[in-house]
Amino acid sequence: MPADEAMVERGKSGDRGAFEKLFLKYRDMVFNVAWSISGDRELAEDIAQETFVKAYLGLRGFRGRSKFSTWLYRIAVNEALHAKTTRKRRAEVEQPLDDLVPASDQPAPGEAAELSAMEKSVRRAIAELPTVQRAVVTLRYLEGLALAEVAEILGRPIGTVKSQIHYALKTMSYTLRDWRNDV
Amino acid sequence: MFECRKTRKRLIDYLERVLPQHLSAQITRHVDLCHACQNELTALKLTREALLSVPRPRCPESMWVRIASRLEAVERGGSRLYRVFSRPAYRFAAHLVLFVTGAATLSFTVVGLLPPVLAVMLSPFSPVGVSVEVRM
Repeated sequence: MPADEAMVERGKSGDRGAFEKLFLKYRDMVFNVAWSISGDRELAEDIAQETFVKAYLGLRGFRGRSKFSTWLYRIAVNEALHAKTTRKRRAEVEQPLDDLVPASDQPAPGEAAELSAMEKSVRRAIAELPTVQRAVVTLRYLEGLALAEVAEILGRPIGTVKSQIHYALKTMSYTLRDWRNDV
Repeated sequence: MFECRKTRKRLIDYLERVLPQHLSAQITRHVDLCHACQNELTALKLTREALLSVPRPRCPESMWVRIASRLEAVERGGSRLYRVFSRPAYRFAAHLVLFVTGAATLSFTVVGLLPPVLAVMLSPFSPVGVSVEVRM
């Protein structure tokens, strides 16, 4: 696969084919970020779509000061956080939160067959975290990014990212332990 | 002995292997002796490993079609303006408006400057030699 920089330059001059190559390289990554942060597979598809549309339309403004992947992660995280906030506000107006079944408990068609029990438990545990901790855990562990890159994407100091990881892992360890005991 | 509080503060760094060697060794020694810290480290380690083992889901195959449709819709909306102004009649009207606006601006500017220019030309020191009183 050609280097991102070459594809970005061609994409800037309107080469849709070049952008499609970038899409093919990063689609799973963006979808994973969208799903983990939103906790909803259907919403994740919308988030992923908007991420790539914004990336294409904003390509001319991409100066190359960071890696293309870092820039794309940033868009994906912001879209996911925004979608989550919008959805929560809408839900608060339309329906009390207590009555909502968590989206992650509603499997999409075919999803139950695709995910192992352990994966489902982990994704549920992530879905129960506060939003910023979800983003941190997703980027660091599900995407395997270095702490420095996670901090750059989220625009936070590394120390803050480490604290968020600590709280997230601790919370998840209790949640996963409870489920293991139930099983 | 390395205190529990100091150990737990550094457990993430320890797991992430970003601690200096001497601190890492201290934590290892403490955890070997302290059950509570050992349990916490084990819990964090297992959770971390569970997260690292989750495979990346596949993006739906139809995603590119959706994106391409959205981009076309966005581009069509932007190009509507271009199609309007590419017609000869609209181009002529746009040029006419520009011409009239430019001429009017120029006229007001020139008329506004005329009295001082006339005063200079018609002053006693001018080669023309005609003196005229100009009211501003």
